[in-house]
Amino acid sequence: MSLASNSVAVPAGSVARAVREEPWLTTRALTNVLVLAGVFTVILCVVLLFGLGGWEYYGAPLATRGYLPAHRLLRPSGPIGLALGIAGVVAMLSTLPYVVRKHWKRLAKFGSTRNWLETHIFFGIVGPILVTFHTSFKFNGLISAGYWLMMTVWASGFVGRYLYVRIPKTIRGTELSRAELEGRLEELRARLDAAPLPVATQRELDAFDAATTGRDGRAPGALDLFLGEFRIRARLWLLRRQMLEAGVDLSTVHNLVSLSAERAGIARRLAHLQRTRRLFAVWHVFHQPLVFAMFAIVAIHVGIALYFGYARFAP
Amino acid sequence: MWWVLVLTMTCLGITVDASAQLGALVSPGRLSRPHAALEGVSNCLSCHAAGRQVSAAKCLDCHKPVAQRIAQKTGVHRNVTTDCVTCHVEHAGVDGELRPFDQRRFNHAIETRFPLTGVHAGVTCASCHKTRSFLIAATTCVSCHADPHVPTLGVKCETCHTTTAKFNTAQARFDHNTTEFKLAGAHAKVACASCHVNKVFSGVKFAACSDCHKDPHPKPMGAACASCHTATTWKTSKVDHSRTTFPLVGKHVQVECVKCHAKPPLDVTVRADTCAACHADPHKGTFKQDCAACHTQSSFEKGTFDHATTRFPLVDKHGGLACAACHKATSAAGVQEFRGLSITCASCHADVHRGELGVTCEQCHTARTFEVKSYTHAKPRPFFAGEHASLACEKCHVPPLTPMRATTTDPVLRVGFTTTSTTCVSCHRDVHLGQVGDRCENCHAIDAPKFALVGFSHDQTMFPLTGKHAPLMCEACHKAETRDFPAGHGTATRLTGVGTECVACHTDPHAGQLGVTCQSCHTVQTFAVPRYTHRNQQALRTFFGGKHAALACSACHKAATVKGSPTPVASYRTSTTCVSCHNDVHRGALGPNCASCHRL
Repeated sequence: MSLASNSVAVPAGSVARAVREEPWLTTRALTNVLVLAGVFTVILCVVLLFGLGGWEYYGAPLATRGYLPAHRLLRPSGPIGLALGIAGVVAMLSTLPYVVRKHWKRLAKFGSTRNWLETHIFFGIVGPILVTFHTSFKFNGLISAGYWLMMTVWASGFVGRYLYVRIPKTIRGTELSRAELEGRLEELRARLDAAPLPVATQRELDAFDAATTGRDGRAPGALDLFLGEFRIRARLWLLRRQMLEAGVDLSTVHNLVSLSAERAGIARRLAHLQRTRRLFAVWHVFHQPLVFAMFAIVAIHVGIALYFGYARFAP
Repeated sequence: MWWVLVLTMTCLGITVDASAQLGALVSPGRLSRPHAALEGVSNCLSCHAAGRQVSAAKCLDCHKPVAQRIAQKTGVHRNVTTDCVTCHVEHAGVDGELRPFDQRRFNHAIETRFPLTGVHAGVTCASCHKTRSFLIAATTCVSCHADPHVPTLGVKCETCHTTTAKFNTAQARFDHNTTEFKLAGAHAKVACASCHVNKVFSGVKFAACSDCHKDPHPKPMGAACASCHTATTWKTSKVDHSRTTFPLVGKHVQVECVKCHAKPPLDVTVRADTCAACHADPHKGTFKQDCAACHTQSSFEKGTFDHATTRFPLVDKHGGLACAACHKATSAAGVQEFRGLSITCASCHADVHRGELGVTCEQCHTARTFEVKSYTHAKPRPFFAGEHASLACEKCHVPPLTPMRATTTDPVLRVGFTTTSTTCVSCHRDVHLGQVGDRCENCHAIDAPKFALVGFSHDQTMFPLTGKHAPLMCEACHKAETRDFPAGHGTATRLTGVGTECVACHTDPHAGQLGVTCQSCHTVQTFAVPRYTHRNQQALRTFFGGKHAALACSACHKAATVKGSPTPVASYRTSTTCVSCHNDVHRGALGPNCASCHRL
């Protein structure tokens, strides 16, 4: 390590390679599917609320909304409402193959776990939204219980995804051992140390490393599993600014921050690994049975609708 | 994992044996309040049919009045063809609206055939439709309005009340004449409540006036109010005098009560036995009989006195006269005199003939008119016939004095009827100015139109009219002349002294060559001379023979200038020498004796 006055040239290629060769999922993993589901949801909302008069219809009092023009299409048994309900059920059913694959090892050879999971997440997000519009925001009886169960599962899905991405895995989703992680962590440390940086900057990096990996002797609590992310992001932002002020060029700063973030992330995962695995097991117990209860209620609901002749696309 | 489901179900408080709660679980929403009794899983099929959603038949099973109206095609649902749920949305909560319609825009007249008119137009729906169903309200008044009448007057309120007027102004509509007590006069103007106290409209007594009216007389007059009062007004006491011993007729009707009755007017004692009780006797007792023998109650002047009972019955124009027109005289006491008046015409009328015709006026005049329309002379003679018959009197009886009037009311003065002459000239002017004397009747006749000359014949004269003279009009020969006539100088048709010779009338075309004995050649039959034999024919036998015999007069008697005629006329001084007519082709070489060679 050597001192540099203002501008220090760091061999950018080495840092970038370190990121590119990263074999593990990062905290940003499975983000694309969230964006995709979000876009789908926004389009659905715009079409229903502003294209088909849903804004007025859903906002009208229950006692009189039956006489609005949009009632013909958007009521649960109307052409659009019924299509939304069927699409919602199909979407919810589309989340199940992932569960089957997890339990039935023969299917493991079809596609990566990651793709199956992304499919599961996409349908798990849009399904309840479709069903929500199917209900026309009118929640009554047993099927409302099913609805709220579904929404609970929907919310828990986001928690599950949060926990899932914090258990380090290979790019195909295979879980990594603690030893592999620690080796990876040391490798990252060595690469950061090898970078030719000003002394002050190097100190900042060391201080950040110490604070985020528990090397300062303080063991992170259970709450840190969820809130620690924000603290790290705040510190990374500070680190980045300090390095820019110290005269380090932008691309170097970018690479250094990425490496530091990766290092801090792995360090945190290692620190929380045991706790995360334990919470994730509990989450499974919560996430799955509610889904089955929901499907049972949906089956009754669909049965009644079929019996009384409401499963018809008649306006 | 199923324990989670069971736990969830339990937490949601589901009890499978409670059908209402189970119904709530499968229900898509609470039913509206009117259908609250249908909540519960056991009632789903009350409205829903398997595979048919909600069928109209199920709804109409309960809503029978609506079903009935749909079948009859009346009311709001008369044209409905869709299912009920198209319009009526359920499971929208307890407060869910089942009948969405704008009550302010609802056309009650068309939809229900009960137009909301008058005060009905402003009321809210709930004022009449007190139940939830709009079908329950009946169109009868009593279905909404309480009957204030005691006792009730039945349900035909519209007999008296309308929707356009307030309830308590019913008399505008009600025809009280349909009741046993018909409202007349002032009764028609009083408010209903004046008689119908406390809104009692039936069983009200009305037989006696005292049922409503109090007796205002100081001394009670009994129940026969109508004998004095009428329904028109109470204050004007119209006493029916005809029911008294003295019925008011004629001018007595107009007389105020107090003229005869002393106050108080109701305390009546009438002295109607004699007229003199009220009236003064203008005859001062000269007539002993009752006034009614001459006078009536209608008029004092035009009484009922029968003048026919006197010596002078009043007929025609006398009948219309007022008594005083004849009975002008008054006695010394100032009383009009009705007795002793002469019946002669002259006692009243002035004699326009000044006694000339005597006092028997009725010989010519009648009471109908003074004018003498027709009069037949006492001695009928031919004189009064013919043209004279139609003449007005004054044509002949021209008064010697100028007719005159003393005043405009006096008849025209006429005298001189007895002195009129029957000679013609006393009336007619002698147009012949004395030429033929005064014996007009010799020629003229009275009975001929316009006094035509029926008695004259020209044969009586010295010149009987024959031939062409016979058809001539008199004036062809008798011209009007202005000269001295026997009666004096003047213009008249000359009848005497007209010459009988031809030249008196005819002009001599021969200019005096042949003298005045025209008849030696001409006749009255024709002026032409068809055949003439020359006087010296014997002597000139040879000359007038041969070719000369057939010649016309003018062949030899050619026009020539004659003394006394300005124009040439046929000359009769004709020579018998040949050359006087023929040209001498020998130019005198052979002498004048043509006959030596030529022959006629």
